[in-house]
Amino acid sequence: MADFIQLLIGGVSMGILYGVVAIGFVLLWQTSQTINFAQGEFVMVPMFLMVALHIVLKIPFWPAFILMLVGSAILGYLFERLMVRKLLPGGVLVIVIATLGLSGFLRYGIQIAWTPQTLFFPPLFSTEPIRLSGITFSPEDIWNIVFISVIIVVLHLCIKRTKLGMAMQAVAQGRETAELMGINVRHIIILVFVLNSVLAGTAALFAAPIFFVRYDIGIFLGVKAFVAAIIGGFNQIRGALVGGLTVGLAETFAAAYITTAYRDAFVMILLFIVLLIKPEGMVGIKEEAY
Amino acid sequence: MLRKTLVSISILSLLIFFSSAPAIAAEAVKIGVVIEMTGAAASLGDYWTKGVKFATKEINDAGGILGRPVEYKIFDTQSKPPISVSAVKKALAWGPFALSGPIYSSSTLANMFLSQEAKTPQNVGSENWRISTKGSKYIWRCSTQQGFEVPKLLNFIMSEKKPKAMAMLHVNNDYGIGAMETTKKVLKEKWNTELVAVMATEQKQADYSAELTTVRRKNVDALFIYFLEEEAAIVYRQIRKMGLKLVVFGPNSSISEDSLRLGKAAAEGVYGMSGFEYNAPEPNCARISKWFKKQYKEWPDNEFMKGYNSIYLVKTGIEQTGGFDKVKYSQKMHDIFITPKMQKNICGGNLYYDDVGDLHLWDYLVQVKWDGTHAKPGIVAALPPLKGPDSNKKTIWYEK
Repeated sequence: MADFIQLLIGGVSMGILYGVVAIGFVLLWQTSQTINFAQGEFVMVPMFLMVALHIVLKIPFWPAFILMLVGSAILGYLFERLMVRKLLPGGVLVIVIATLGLSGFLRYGIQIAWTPQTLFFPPLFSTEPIRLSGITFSPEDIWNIVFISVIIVVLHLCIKRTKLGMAMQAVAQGRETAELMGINVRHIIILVFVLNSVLAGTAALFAAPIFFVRYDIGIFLGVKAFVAAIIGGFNQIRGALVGGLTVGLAETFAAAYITTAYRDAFVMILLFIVLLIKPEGMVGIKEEAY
Repeated sequence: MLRKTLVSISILSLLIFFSSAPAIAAEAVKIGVVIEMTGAAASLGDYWTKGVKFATKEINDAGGILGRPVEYKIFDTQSKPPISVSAVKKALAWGPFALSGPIYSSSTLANMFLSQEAKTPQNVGSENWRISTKGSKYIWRCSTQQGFEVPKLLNFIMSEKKPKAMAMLHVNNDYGIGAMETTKKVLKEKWNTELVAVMATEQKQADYSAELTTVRRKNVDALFIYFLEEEAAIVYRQIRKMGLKLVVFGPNSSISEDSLRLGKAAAEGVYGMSGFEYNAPEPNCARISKWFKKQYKEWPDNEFMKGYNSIYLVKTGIEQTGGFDKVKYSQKMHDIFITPKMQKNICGGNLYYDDVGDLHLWDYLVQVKWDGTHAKPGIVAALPPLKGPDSNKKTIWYEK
């Protein structure tokens, strides 16, 4: 039982990180039909930014964190203005190809401009284990789960309860209708891109001490988050979260009880099963084709 | 008139420059550096190329090899075996005297037949034991292969630590699988025992909680890890997070500068073995490490020393044969004992290359120390090679 609980904590801790990155996929898809294959790099760039500000320039943690979020927001804004707005009329495929290119550009840009080496980032919370009734767990895992959960709940409430959130929902449901209702769709789309980048920046802060800071981490995180968003449901924020947790738990339990060698394969099998049985995702809503 | 004269002079200068360029190139000793510049092992490739660059500069500053300058060109393998094959093809088309790299065993296993066909010496950083069984007379290693490294390491752990239950975590590629096969063989044949758990893991895996839960469930008291640097550091952190108390040991990657820089306090106590350590009592490693520290503000990973040696090996071979005949080079560089007297700058002390190009040298047994800010390799002992003139010498203990 102790093993099971520990694996559960480990799986949830990884899964919630995948989930928060996956939310970005959902947000962009819902408001602008954009699939951002550079989503992982939107986590990687803030990681390096945080190292530059906090470790290299020795700026205290909180100012560095705020500056990093500002940098992330600028990245999201530029992404929308310089790439998405110009290419979106060409269709989703054009955006997919362009974001794949952007992913490579950011990845190799960091490698060439800074370093191909993996960089250390200090843990945000204590990593000294705590023992309780035969169960050993790390405060780092628990705090990661708590903080990311709070962020997701706040995001959910903002989207559901605030005027701005409702405007975002209206844009997601139909741009033309939203425009007729007096919503400035262009501003809402920019806001969503900025929000996505800030969310990715926040995920970067929690991911950096666990994965370390490396130029190619975006591929790993981006793929996991994309798979999580599909498994959970590409058109629901809660779907991204459910998908993230499912991926995290599936790989942890498969590695513990079946084999460690092909943990990623189990996630892919799960993806195929979900696509065959419920193509809209575990909690996704079926969209009618017109 | 002035403009015409200036244009004529410029054209003439360009013609002189370009006509003289091939002459310089033809005289150079070309070395194709086939290495992991991008992908999973980019960090290691970066250290390797820095070693190549430094060795080349040193050799050229001292007058080159038999009067010819060394020229190198980098070909990126992207850390992928199929790409490494095309990288070697491109490198060979460039017409090099020798190749330096790659590091990944899977890549070397995929591309080594090309250097054999082209009869071009290839100095690799790979450690999988299978490379030596392929019959190539044109492969030389810049590090100890697993078939010699693993027995030495296990000898220390089994005789000094006397574990009751040993498990192994290894990366699921040729590097990790080769080590696992050797470990099982050595434990069975020499120590009449078995691993209680063997777990293969994905490359660049970020979470090892499932594997470490199994380690705890099986009451493991000695854990052999066979990963690259980042994975090793992540495992150290997770062992600490889970509060596991056990002897952790691994190959040179587990105690290399990258592992310690990332693992920090969590790496404390880990045992490992390497022929190239910046603080080992070996003057050339110490000398080039100091240069590296001055240049890049950090201590080098052992891949830097290996990349450095890959160039000095070419220099040694050419000087020993007295010319640029690759077949003669191949004959001369097997069963050869390279001492600092023969090649004063080469790193690692006395190096013996056997008849299949395997390297045998003194390896340093290291235990990681934590001084409150940095994890450092503490030299425990120097272990003699298993083959070659130094093999009959005894272990030198620095601390026990």
